[in-house]
Amino acid sequence: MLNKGAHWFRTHIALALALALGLLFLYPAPVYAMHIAEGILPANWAAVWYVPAILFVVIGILIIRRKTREVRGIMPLLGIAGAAIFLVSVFPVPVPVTGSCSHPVGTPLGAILVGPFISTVLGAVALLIQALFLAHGGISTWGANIVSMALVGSFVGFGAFVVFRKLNATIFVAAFAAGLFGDWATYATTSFELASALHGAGSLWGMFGAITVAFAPTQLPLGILEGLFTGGVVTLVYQRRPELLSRIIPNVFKPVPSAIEGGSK
Amino acid sequence: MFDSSHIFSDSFAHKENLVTGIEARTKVAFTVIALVINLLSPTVYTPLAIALFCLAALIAIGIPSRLLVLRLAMPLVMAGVVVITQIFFYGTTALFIIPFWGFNLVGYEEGLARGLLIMSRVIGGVSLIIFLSMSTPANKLLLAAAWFRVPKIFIELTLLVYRYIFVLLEEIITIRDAQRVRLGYYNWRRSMRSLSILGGSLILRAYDRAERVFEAMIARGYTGTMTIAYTEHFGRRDFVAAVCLSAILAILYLIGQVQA
Repeated sequence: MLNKGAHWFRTHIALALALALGLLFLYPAPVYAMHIAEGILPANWAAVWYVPAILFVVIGILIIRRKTREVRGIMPLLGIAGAAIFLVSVFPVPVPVTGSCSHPVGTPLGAILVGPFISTVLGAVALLIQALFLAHGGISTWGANIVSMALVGSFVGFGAFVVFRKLNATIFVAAFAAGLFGDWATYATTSFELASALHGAGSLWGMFGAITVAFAPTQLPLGILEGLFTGGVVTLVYQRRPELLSRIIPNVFKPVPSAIEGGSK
Repeated sequence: MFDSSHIFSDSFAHKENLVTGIEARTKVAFTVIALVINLLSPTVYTPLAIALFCLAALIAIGIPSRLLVLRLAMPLVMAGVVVITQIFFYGTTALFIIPFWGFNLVGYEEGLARGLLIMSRVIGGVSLIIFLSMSTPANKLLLAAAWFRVPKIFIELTLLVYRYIFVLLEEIITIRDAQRVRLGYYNWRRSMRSLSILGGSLILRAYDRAERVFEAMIARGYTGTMTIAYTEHFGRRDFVAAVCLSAILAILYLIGQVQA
């Protein structure tokens, strides 16, 4: 076994290497780094991540089932909103530093529109379709991807939005924070999922650091872009159709009757 | 943005051939069991055999090999990062040493072996998934899932999402083209602004469309839930296919055992 100093040394060289690698992987045009591909996680870890994923998806499904009794039109609404969120999550957002494009997560936006539990279900649907028909993500890693993208993205995004609204931030700033923190939390969770499954006999946090650094050059600016994008979209939706948002988050929005400038209403 | 690389895999599944002819439930069961075998395999041989079988079957039914490579390429980028972290983190037996800015980077033998195993599992797993999705249309896949007792609301939601992805995609292309001729993507600032407007308009149109779709569904007797029933027949041909696929599964499992 190596002694402690040598281990520190080894970890930090690996970090430097990971940084270089991260820079290298900036260049392939679209980056799908967020999706853990099929086969990367060993069977036991894949199963572990399925547990929270199934739990939250089932809660979300129960909430939808209850709502279908109250609002009959909710299924087509959620289906089409889900399709919109799916498409938003494959939007190519231009990353200014590199000139390449990357993709937002989309679930923070979904959570603001339909609430975090339902957004988790929609995220799970989107991840399944992406895994099956576009080969992004996987079936055994579906659970892990639900946890990092749908669950953490939705809840952190939603939480950030509510907290910033409570602090009297404007809708743009609150939605920016939702996108920013939702995206970064997703990225951190994905790194943790990879590190915990793959660190072997080495240090968990060393591996976590290496993976975080490897993806940092794309994911840190992407979080800011996701924030700008989420802020822009939520502001636009609020200006044109404020009732769409007030129905889902009743107490967060204060009525602003004069916010509509050139809107359709 | 939405070029040919984004064609959904199941656009090939509507053709009639040997693989698409296999009943959907059989294929779903085969894929799931094979995915487990793939994940549990101790050697690289089983995953590679799985990949070989799936890719050969897909090429035999006329899927362009370029598309298969494209589908495999994206997961492999991530697998590449994982392999490299494994080489430098895992194990104790030094395989090679690279001088790196005055440091010595040590690559380990066990790490390389583990990295290659993970890489082969990615290839095997992704091949299995595209084998399923390129030979089975989405609606059959979801009806098969309903037969396996997946919650009805989840199936209904997935069917709706799947259907409206294509409808909304057309709207995106229309809006984006209109923005483009007005120099909406002239520089980065304007691109971000245009993208936000595009996303916002998409959500608003989605809500408007949902109201119209709901009215249309009501007019056709929708009561709040869709009726989902699996009606396909499990005939003698399907039985033969199921036996053959089970035999293949057994062989794939044994390959791993023999080599280990």
